[in-house]
Formats: sequence, structure tokens, C-alpha cells
Amino acid sequence: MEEKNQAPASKAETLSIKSSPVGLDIGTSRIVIADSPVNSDIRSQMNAFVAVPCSEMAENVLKQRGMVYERNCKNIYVYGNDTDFFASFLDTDARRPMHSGLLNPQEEMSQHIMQRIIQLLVPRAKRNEVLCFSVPGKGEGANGNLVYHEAVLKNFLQSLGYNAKAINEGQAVVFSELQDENFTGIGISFGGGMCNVSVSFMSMPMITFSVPKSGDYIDRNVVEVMGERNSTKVRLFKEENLDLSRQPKDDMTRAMHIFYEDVLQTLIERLRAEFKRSSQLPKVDRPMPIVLAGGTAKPAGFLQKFESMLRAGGEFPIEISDVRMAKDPLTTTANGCYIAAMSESK
Amino acid sequence: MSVDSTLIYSRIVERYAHFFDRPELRLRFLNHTLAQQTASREKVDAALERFEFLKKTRFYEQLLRLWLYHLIFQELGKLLPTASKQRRQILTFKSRTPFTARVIFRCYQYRRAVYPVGLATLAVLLFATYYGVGWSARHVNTYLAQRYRSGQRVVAVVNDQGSVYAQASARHLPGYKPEKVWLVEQKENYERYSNGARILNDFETTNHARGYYVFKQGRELADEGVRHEPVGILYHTSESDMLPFTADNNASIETHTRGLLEYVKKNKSYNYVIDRFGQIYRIVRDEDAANHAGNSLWADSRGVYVGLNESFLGVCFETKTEADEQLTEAQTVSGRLLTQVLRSNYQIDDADCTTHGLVSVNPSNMRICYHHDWTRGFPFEAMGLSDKYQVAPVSVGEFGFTYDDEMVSKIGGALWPGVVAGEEAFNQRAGQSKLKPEELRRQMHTLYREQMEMQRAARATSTNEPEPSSADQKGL
Repeated sequence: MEEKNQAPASKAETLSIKSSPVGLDIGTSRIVIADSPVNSDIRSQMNAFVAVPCSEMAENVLKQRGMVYERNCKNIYVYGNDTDFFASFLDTDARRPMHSGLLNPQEEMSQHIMQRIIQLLVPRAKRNEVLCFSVPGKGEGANGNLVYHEAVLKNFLQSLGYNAKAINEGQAVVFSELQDENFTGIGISFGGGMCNVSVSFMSMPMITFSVPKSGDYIDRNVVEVMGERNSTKVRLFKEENLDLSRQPKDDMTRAMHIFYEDVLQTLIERLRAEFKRSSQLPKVDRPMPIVLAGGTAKPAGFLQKFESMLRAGGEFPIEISDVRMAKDPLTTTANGCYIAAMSESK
Repeated sequence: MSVDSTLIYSRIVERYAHFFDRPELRLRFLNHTLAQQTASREKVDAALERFEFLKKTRFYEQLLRLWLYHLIFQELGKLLPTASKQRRQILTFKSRTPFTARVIFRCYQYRRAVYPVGLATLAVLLFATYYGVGWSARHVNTYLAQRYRSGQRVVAVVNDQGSVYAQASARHLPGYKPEKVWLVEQKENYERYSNGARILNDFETTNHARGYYVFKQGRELADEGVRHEPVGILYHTSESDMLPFTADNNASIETHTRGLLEYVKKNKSYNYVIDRFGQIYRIVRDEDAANHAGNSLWADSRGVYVGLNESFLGVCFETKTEADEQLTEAQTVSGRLLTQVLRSNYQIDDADCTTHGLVSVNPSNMRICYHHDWTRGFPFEAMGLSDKYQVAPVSVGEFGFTYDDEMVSKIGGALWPGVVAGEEAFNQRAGQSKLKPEELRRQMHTLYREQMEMQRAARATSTNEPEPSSADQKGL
């Protein structure tokens, strides 16, 4: 990037100095920060951007609307929460710095844009405060990339003055939702890029893994089978209108049902396989709860669909006490990271 | 660390995790405690690598568990609020924390105070157990004695005047009469008798002359005059130190005996002493009273004797109640010979040959057995006498003296059968008099004190000397 213009002053100055632990959920579609015990203080930015060729007219529009953007000699980059509006305005797809839960190797600007989005949310640390950020679990073909992804983010967060620690995304769900069970149970985060699972016993992750199918997979495939031009429309439909407890009325809904079931089936089969394969798991003397979180778990009827498919597969390797939805599925991971950061703080 | 151990440790830690409402504190507590326990275990395992057998013991696991509790309390100390009010609130009102966890943690908090209290409680418990076992044993003995008393050969005879007197069952030696024994030889320092008895005079001494009354029922006297002749024999133990009775201790045993004889002579304690080699020593002459019986009571068909120093001869065996072998063979033989000599000389009835423990009383609390010598185990039969343990003592049957658990414990945990018969006789008498036993007992105690005073007067008439202290002068 040859030349950089910072975002408008009003927004850039939100970067103050932070003196308390921070929890950061770095997801494929959103980055969420939790830095206080009050849930309403949780903030988030879309982990996406739109690039347009440099023009004075476009820049004026952005300035007038007070949007966050960055410019180099070729392009203007609009990122964060303004992305959706600008993408709709230009009738184009937003670009993602991450893909399938990890830094997107196909996207040249991924690291830079992500740093900019994180900086919108995370102020500099005052005294090497603890910051816990979420990373996906190991999964098909993602192991090498995972190391790179974690290292890049860690370095960047450390450069902001934090004592940065990576937390498995599924484990963060456990920390957030299973306090009463002393952090014993199964946490599943249905994110944009992948599903992350952690089987935790007394706060210790016994099994962690990820499945590279989730919201983006559903969107991509629905777009493909429906012959849509971009996935934004599909995603908005999914987030606002989909009800998995009802029979599908149209082709798009039917397609969504199919791909949701595919995602769930893949995840449940993998979970069964992991339990059978694992010799590390202690003999748990009580039934374990399952907690579901993440944006992909938001549609109505998701919980019932998951539970019915779990029970339909026959006896599960361990006894399940109940399956429940997280209190706020979108902020669960960030909240879990915040709890972990607080517990690590002196 | 095995999977099972993890589970056990987790269960313990989990109970204490409920102290924390805030998730980050709970998470920190769980993580730190379990991580530290794992690290500790790994260290100990490594240190004991060469002693694998130790790891298999239950003690090893228990030790690690104790260590885990230490870690838990350490973490709780760090993470719970420091303000005592908040901490108290958590410990008091946290309903989700198991009660046992709260109690154990409180004990740990106040451990410096709890340790001494715990030790004191333990001491009290041990003492209570000891006392309880002793008490139970005594009561079981008493119960068994009462339960089987119907099978005892107890004879509690009431004479024409209604007084209880000693009556031997004479079952052991039916029709036995002591043969006539006479003095064969008298030298400067010994006497030899026809039955082979040899009495040494080396330590002979005098005391005041005997003088006593024989009481019939109430204050009535058997005869008007003060009597002076010995009427019975009381057997004693010296309760002196006992050396092992072996040949290599000869000199020491004799030295001990000499000390005893000098003491007895000085205090005029007995009329006769029989040492461990069976030698019979006369100390206080027969016609004089020795200070051997103090407050004591006995009765025969003639009447009741109060304060037996005056009326009974005191024969002391050099022995101890708790000794393994109470009498040597020589002492037994000599005791029998001396009994024959004395009975022959003074026409003493078998019924009047008894032991100190069976006649001793304590007027201050009206209980029997102020002294315990020969309350059990005296070989009456070997002495040619009937078993006085089967005879109702007049102190119990006539005067209503009682006993307590402490006394029963001191005499070996069981009363002799005569006491039980005496109690029965006393209660029967109370029934016949249409009095409650306690009322009759009060009356009889008053009578006993009156008789004691009369006996003192008799002695004063006889000797013009005040009576010595009621406590016997035994104490070697």
C-alpha cells in the first residue's frame, strides 16, 4: 500500500488506552470484542471489506457519510460495519480477509484489513494486559494454516501492547455458558467459516476439532444451486427469514434446509467419531450438556433441528444432559475469551 | 496421572469451586488448583521412581489427596474476598456450596484454634471412652453377680434378736474342727508348737490392753462387762514392695522383710507378720490390741463387734494385692499353722476368722471397703476355714453400709457374693419394719455411731488412753 489515509478523525480517535483484560472473537464474518462484564458493552465489526478504484467522487461520498475507509494510490477500501452498505450501494460482494476460519491466502489485503478492523475495536494496552483471542480447532487441511493464522494475529495483538493468548473457539463457548457445570460440557460455535467444537472437563479441553463447513458453506452452495449472482442476498435472507422448524415453502428455503442438515450431519458424525477415537477423555461421572453458539445457529428452529439429528443417530458415546442455545449466540465466543482473559489476569 | 485420579481430584476441587460466583474466578481456581496438583504429582512420581511399591499403597494416594486439600485452601485464600465481612457472607449464605466444603474450609481457616480444641476433644473422648468402658464393665459385673446370685451359697442368717450375723456355709470343710495345739518349747527368741508352728519373738512389743463390747440389737450389750480376750482373726496384706521370689534375691528379700518388721513394730500395726519365707513373727502381744483394723465391723452368733483392733488378732502376710503370686507356699503353710495355734489358744470360731477388706468401713460416707486387702483371693480353705466371701457382712446386712462404682472398680470390678446377700437381707428387714430402706439406713447409721462411741468408751475404760486415728497405719 503506497499511501494511506486514516479513517475520519471522529472514528479513529475511539482508540483510547485500555487497562483491563480483553476478549476478542476473530471470526470469519465478524470480529467481536468483550472488555467488560456487562454484555451490552460488547462491540463488533464485520470482518469484510469492499475495494473500489480511487476517485474523488467516491471519497467524497464516504466522507459525507462518515464511513471508515482507507485509500492507497489504486483503491479505496471500505471495511468493518460499513462494508454491507457500500457493497449494496455498488451491487457487489463484500470481500473477506478470512476464509474457513483462517486468514484468507487468496486475499492480498487480508492481514492489513484485519489489522485495521481490529484496531477499530481494540485500543492499545496500557500495561501488558491479557487479551485472549479465539482461534479455530484443528480440522481437515487446516493444521499448517492454523499455526500461521495464530502466529500472525498474536504478533499483531502483541504489537498493540497486549499479552495475547489464543483460546479455542469451542472452549470459549464453554467458558461463557457452562459456569454452573464447572466448565464441563461440549461447546459448539457455528461461525461463518467453520464449526468449532470443544469437549471440556473441568475447564480442560479434552477434545477440540473444527469442521470446515458452516455459514459461508451454506451461503455459497445455496447461491450456486439457486443461480444467484452474489451471496449477500442469500445471507440476509438466512439471517432474517429462515425458520428451520417449518417445512420449506420455496426453493431457496429448501436449499437452505438441505445445506444446514448437511452441516449438522457432518458435525455430529465427526463428534461421534472423535469420542470413539479419543482415549484421553476421563470417565465423566455425569451427563454432559451441549451449548450451541455463533451466527449460523441464529435461525429459528436450529436448536430443535440439531437435537433431533443428534438423537436420530442412535446412542451417543456419552450421556447428554441437555442441548441448549447460548444466551447471546453472537457474543458468546467473545465473552468466553473475556472470562479466560480475566482468569489469566493478576 | 491416571484418568481415575483426575476424576477423583476433579470431584474434590469441584466442590470448592462453588465458592465463586464470578466465572473468571471459578475458572482461575479450577485451572490453578488442578494444574498445581498435576505438577505436584509429577514431581512426587519422579522422586519415587525407584520406589514403585510406595505408589501402589493407599497411603500414597491419601497423602496426595491431603496435599490437594492444601492447594485448594491456598487458592481459596488467594481468590476469596479479603474483607472479612464479604468472606463471611460467602461462607454463610452460599447455598450452592456443599455444606461439608464450607465446614472443612472454615475449620482450615480457624485451624490454629481448631487444633488445640481438637486435641482437647480427642483427650476428652479418649477419657470418656476409658471411663465408659470401665463403668460398663463394672455394671456388667454387678448385673451378672445379681443375675446369678440365686446359685450362690450365700447364707444371711438372722438371729433371735433380729441381727444379721456371719454364718459360714462350711461347705468346703464340713465338720472341720481345729485340733488341740499346745506349746512344745519356749526359748528366748521363739516358741514351738505341737503342730510344727514356730513363732519368732525378735520383734515382739506391747501395746494397750484389749477392751471391747459385744453389741446385741440396738444399743443392748451382750453382757455388761468390757471383754479383753481375742475373739477372732483378721488377715491383712502388708502392701509392701515385692521383689521377685527367687534364690538370688534372698538377701534383698530379707532386707525388705526386716524393714517391714521394724515398721510394724514401731507402729504396733499387727499382732503377727508372716514373711515370704513363711517365718511367723509375733509383733504386738496377743493380749494387747494392735492398730490393724481401724473402723471395722463384724458379727457372729454372739453379737456385733465394732472397731476390731480391740477384739480381733491381726495377722499380716508380707504380700501385695496386685502381686502375681499373692502368697508363697511357705506363707500358706505358716498361715494355716498360725491359725490353728490362735484358734486353739483362744477357742476362736471359724466364723470369726475373716479378712480386713471384708470388715473395713468408712463412717464418713457410710460405705464398705475403706481398705481392700483380701477382698478377693484369700485362701480360706487352705487356712482350714470356711469361705467368708459367701457370708453377708454385718456392715451391709445390719447397718446398711453401701458401696459405689469406684469402690467396685478398686476391688477388681466385682463384689463378693456376701455383699449381695447382705443387701437383700437389709431390704427384707426394711420391708418387715415397714420402712423404706433409706429410712432404716439412717436409723442404723445413727446406731452405728452410738456404738462406735460406746466402743471408744470401753477402750478408754480399759486403758485410759485415747484411741488412735481411725485410719489404719498401713502404708509400706
